[in-house]
Amino acid sequence: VTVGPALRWLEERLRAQRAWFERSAFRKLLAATLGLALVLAGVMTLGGFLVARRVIQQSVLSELSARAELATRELELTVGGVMDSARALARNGIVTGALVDSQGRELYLLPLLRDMASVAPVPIHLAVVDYRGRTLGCSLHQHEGSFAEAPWIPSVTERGETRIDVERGPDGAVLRFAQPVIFPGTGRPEGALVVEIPLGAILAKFRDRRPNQVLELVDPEEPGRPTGAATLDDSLVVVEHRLTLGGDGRLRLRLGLPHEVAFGGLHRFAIATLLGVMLAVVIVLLVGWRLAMRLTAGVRELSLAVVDAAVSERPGIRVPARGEDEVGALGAAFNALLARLEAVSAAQLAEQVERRQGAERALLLAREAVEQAVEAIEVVDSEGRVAFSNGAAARLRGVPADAAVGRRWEELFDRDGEWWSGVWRRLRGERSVVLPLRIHRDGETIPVAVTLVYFELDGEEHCIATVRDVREQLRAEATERLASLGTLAAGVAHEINNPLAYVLGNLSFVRDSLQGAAEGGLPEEERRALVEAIHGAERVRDVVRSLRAYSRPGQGPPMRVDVAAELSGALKLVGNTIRHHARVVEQLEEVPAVLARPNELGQVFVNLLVNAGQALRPDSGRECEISVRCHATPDGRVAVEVSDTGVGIPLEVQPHIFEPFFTTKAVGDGTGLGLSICHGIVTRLGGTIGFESEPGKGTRFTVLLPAAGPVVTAERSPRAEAPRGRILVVDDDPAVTRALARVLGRTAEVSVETDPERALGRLAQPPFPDAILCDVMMPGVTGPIFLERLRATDAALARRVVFITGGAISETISSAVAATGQPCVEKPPDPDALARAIASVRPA
Amino acid sequence: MLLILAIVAAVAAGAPAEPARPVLIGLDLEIGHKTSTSDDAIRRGVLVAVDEINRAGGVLGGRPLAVVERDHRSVPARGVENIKELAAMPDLVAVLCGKFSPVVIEELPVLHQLELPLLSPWAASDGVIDHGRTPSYTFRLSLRDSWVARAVVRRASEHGLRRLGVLLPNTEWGRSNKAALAEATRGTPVKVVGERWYNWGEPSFLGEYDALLADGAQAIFLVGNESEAAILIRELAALPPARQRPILAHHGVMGGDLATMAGEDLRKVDLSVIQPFFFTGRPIERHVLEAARTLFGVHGRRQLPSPAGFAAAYDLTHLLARAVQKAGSTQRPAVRDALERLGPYDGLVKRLEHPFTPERHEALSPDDLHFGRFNAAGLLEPADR
Repeated sequence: VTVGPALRWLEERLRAQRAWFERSAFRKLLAATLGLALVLAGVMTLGGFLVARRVIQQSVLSELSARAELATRELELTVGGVMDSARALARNGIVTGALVDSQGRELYLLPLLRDMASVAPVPIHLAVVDYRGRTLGCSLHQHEGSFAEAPWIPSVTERGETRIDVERGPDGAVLRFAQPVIFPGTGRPEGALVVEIPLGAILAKFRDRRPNQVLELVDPEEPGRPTGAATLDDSLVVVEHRLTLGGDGRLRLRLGLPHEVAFGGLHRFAIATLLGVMLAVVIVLLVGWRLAMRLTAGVRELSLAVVDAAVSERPGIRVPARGEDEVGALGAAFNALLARLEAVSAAQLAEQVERRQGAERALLLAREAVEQAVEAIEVVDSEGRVAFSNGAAARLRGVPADAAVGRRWEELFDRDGEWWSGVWRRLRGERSVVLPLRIHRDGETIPVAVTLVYFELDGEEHCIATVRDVREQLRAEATERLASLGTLAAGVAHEINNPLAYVLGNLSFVRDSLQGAAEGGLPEEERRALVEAIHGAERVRDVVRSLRAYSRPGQGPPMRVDVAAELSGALKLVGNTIRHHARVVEQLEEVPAVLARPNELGQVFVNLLVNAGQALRPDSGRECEISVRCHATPDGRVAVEVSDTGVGIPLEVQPHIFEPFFTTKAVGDGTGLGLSICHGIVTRLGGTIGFESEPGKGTRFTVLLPAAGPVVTAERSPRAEAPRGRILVVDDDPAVTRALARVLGRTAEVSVETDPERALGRLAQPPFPDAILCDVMMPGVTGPIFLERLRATDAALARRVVFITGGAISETISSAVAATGQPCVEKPPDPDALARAIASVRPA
Repeated sequence: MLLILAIVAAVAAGAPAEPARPVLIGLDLEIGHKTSTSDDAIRRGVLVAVDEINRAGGVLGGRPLAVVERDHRSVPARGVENIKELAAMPDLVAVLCGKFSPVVIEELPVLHQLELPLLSPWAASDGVIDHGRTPSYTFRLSLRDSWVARAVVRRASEHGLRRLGVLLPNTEWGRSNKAALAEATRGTPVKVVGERWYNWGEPSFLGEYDALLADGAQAIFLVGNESEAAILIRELAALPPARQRPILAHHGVMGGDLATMAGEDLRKVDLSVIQPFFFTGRPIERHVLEAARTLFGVHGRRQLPSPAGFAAAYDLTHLLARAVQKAGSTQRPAVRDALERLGPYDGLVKRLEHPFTPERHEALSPDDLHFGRFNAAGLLEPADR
């Protein structure tokens, strides 16, 4: 009943002790040290005890042996003395006479024997016997024993041997010494002197001297006849010593001491040693315990103080550093460390904190960046299962990111597992694969560039799939293409405009010359050819201008634009393409102007016209017709309709036609940007673009644009007066200068200069021209530089400059020209525009 | 061998074809004694007598006498055993002892118990005969200590040697002599001025001798045997004459060949030895010497160094034969009785009218004792002749 709680209590105590130990290195060290010391002490004690026991045992046995030897010697001396006396006595005349003198036995022998016996060191029995052992005399008054006919008698009395026997008598061992008595008359033994020496009595003397020791005589050959007076048993420590009495050495003196007497001291020594060691161990344990408690207490106190110092925000805190021992030294070291730590600047700490926070921020940002990345980022395992999916990917998939995980990755692209297997094989080989794919979502097809990068994480194969929406990229690429086309067109225009300038100028000069010289004198056919040549040249000029306009849309500020004119320009630009297989019906009404950047609308219209032309199927058997119409709507907007009789737009495609890069055309036929760009332009202008389409019958696009406000200063200036005065033409192309000189030479005094430097030199002195026509693009000195230098020498003269240009090559020069504030006329110059420009710079 | 000799002798004497069982005579002698010649003398005396008797037809109608011998080595204990053994023999009629009285003294109880007659040709102690037992089975044809004492006192007195020193063996024999001497000196001018006791086997007596001289002894009475006598003679011979005193020696000194043992020193000392018998040249003496020569190869008296023992044994054997004859049987009590009733016998020692009587078992008398001295030939001659 009481065992259970006691065991539980013990178990708790043991657990507590164990935890207590495990919490303290010092205590472990102490336990180990004490345990070791305990074991060592035990071993040394045991070893010392064993050695001491062996030494003491040997010493005791040696002492016992010495005692036995002493006792043996004393016994032998005593017995030997008696036997020597007996030998002498056997030769004594009284003894020998007793053999033949019965009367003398009473008179002399008996007193002699008794006297001899009485003076012996031990109570011996002396007897003289005849040749058959019969007693002739003995020292005892009443001798009960007789040696008559004893078996040993003949050996003494017949053979004259001295006989020593040890017999067990009633009072213990008796050594019987029989010496033959030689009768002088015969010279032969005729009797014997027998001495019986009670060895027991001698041994008893020893025992009396040392009461605790046991002595006995033993005859090893006759073990059944112990001759001692005491019994030796196992409780005794026994040593034996050979007794040389009688010469045969058979007898042994056996000396025994009780174990208690022999080894009592040893046992007391052992107990005292053990007690001493146990006491020492207890003392060591207590002292060690106390020491460990002090040490651990100091260390624990120090630990707590260090923890306080670590968590405390209060500056200047210190741990206790008492004493000069290791704990004190440790405390002092901690204090030094604390001081050093405090010495570190707060800025450093703040910087560290900031850096860390920055790193954490960067990590968060990286996570957020991945999450918020425009591009879908997913991690796919080797089986094609999505392991991770960011927000963009979720949006791409149209499902939450969590729902995407675990789904088949290839399903995003409407592909099957076989396709994925091929992709994975290729990815493992090439490590990185870029795939152009499309995503179909809600009826929309999104072109994407998918980059797969292979990697292994913890031995598992994965890949990162980056799905990038390339719609904007493709759009930019198309824009860039258009820009390149514009630059090309500008270059072409510049190169064409210069020759066109003098072609058209010279033709006009010839026509005007012919008209002025001989009104109607020129035959009709030649006049018509000249007029057609002039029209052809003007048509070249218009095409070049349209090309420039198309290639550089949206530049410059919005301005009032004549929609019909834009439509006409567009038709001119693409007319050649469509007129081959379609009939173009133009129904252009006068409509209000709209606000737009130059050429923007032309771009829209060109697109619509090109699409219409491509939608036509001349081999379909139906009439191919493109109808272009513009008119004002009742609500005041301007409507432009472009319709065709083509294949129409399929119903499933219709919702997507304004999406970027959506195309139904074969690769190479279109960029897919056309309608989306048109949609963007029209929407930006505040208009709308829509369509009606019936597959197989045709399509009609309708653009509705808001009309510009009422015209304030849009009065068309009257036809300019022909230029007068002196005009200097500076152009590096001599053909251009000559043509201008012919055209202007009719009304003005024209001088030309093909070298700007020489022109500047001429302008340094009179006569000063009233207008200076200066080409913008000249080798060495551009138009604006020419103007600048002229301003430097004669600012007034510089205000008479009119730039003429075949088309600005670069935006920089265009801007520089615009910045001069001087008028600029494009080549081939319109005669009215040129006249107005010259008029504007002529001094009044 | 002697027994065989006796038997052969008997046969040769013309015994009946069917040999009668011999009548045995026991000898209990000190054969093993080193210097003793007494045993030889006694045995020879007995055998010469047996030879004569057997030649004469034996006893009891033709039964030869035969001798059975036992050696007691002068040790009484052995003698007692010998007596027992001899007594056990049915045809043994008596025993002759040797010269040692102590042996006989100790044999007395068993002798009388077994009713075995003992005839002493030598043992001289008074106790051999005077032991008080009746009927006494001991008989002696020799001298007697008390007679010796008187003879010594008488001779000392005759030679004016009034102060006697005595050397005595520490035995019953010595004490017997002391008592006898005390009795003998009573009423005489001779006084015993000193007595010195010795034990058998003493190597020297010079101390005792000097002590006796210091006591004022004019003569020394030596009670001893040939060993003591020979030692004393040699020691005295080495002394200056002034320190030499006459030695009156007991019969015991003739128990051995003293002449040989003492050698030339024998003539340097004044030694007188008391004897019951001397060869004096009588016819019987020549007869027995011849017989001894025939039987034992003994040539002359010098080869019989203990003549008294020889003569006494010879006479006692004849007396015993006569007693057996007289008893008519080998019954030992009858023989003993017959010994007391023998008629006159003309023996070698002397003629005995009544050798023994119931009251007297001594065949001799004090007057039969005489002192003798050794002559140059080593033969003991009567001193007074």
